[in-house]
Amino acid sequence: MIKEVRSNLEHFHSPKFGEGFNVVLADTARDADETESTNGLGKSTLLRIIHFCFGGASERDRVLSHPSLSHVSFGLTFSIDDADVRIDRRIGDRDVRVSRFFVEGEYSVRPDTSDQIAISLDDWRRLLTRRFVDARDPGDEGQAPPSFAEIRLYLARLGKTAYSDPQLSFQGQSGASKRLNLAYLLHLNWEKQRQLESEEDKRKQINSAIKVLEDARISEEDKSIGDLEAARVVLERQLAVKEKQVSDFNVRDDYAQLERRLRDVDISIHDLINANFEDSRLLEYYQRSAKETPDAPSGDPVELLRNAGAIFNPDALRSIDEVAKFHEQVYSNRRDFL
Amino acid sequence: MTALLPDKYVPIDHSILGLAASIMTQLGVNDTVSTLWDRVSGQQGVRTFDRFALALTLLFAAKIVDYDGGILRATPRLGQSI
Repeated sequence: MIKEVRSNLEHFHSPKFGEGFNVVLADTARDADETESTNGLGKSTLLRIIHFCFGGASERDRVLSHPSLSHVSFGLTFSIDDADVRIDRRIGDRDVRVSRFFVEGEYSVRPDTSDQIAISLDDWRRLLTRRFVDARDPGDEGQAPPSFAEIRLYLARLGKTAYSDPQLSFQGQSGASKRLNLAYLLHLNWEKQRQLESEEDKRKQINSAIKVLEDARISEEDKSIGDLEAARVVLERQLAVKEKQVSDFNVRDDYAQLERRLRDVDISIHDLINANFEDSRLLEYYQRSAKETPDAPSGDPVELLRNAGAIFNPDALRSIDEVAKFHEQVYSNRRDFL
Repeated sequence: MTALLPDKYVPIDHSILGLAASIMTQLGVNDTVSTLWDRVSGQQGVRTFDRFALALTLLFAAKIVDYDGGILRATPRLGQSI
């Protein structure tokens, strides 16, 4: 049971706790008349100080890492087995002062008359784990329980996570850590959880090893640039041989001559086809023209004589009546014939 | 009216005058209109019966061809025996 929290800060109010249920309240801030807020008065900071005294890292705490708190001392007194244990720790120091009797038996300490002795922060954390979590004998090969530092975060909750997810002790906590701590706190078979976690780690290691071996095998299969270059030269030679075979390939010796003749014949066929097409069109026209019964245009003879006068002596021309009659006769003759 | 005379755009072979000259060379003895037409209609410059008729009429108007009882004859020239 924590009995007291203290500090060497001048205006620090040291809370004292008694038997039973204790509640920490804060008066309304003087500058918060409208909201009646009690934020920022140190309730959570009290929890942070408790964590700090029990081995928490001050450099990662956004309050205790404030420069103005450098080398400030915080401490607490808790009772165990009807004895009070005093802990004092300064921010920035790597050791903790702890009541002598709490340390004796765990670590060898120099004989001294002082009430507290200083031990390293790591030793302090291990000592807390041994005293409150892991009571196994040294050298015990069994599964290791969670550390006191892990359990402590569940017992004194901090931050938003403490109020949004009861299974999480801090944001970003791994699933394995969460399952192990909860199993321990709920007195479940946490050894199996630790074993399962260990097996999972082994499986990851084996998978990683398999992947490394596979990568090594693949890399061994990769040919060097020299091998590839030699293979390229061989393939290029084979390709050149094949190209020459294809270019020299002939079914007959007179293939080129036959090819020229074929081209000439082909041109001739095309010319004949074109001529045939023109002839067929002309034939159609003649057939159509031959079957048509011609009618003599009435004005043609007159126009003809007028134009003919430009090249013939008018006296040498027949009369318009004769010409018109002849013109009509030509058409009449054709009509009679058809 | 089909062009009688050649000009900038009508070559002599396509003019009625050129056609008349061509027909004149094809005119045989005792040719009728139809026999002459059948002979010359295959020539490239003749093309239509109307053109043929105009060329023939030109030859008749100029007294180069006579028409006698359905027979076409070349008019004798001075000094030329019939």
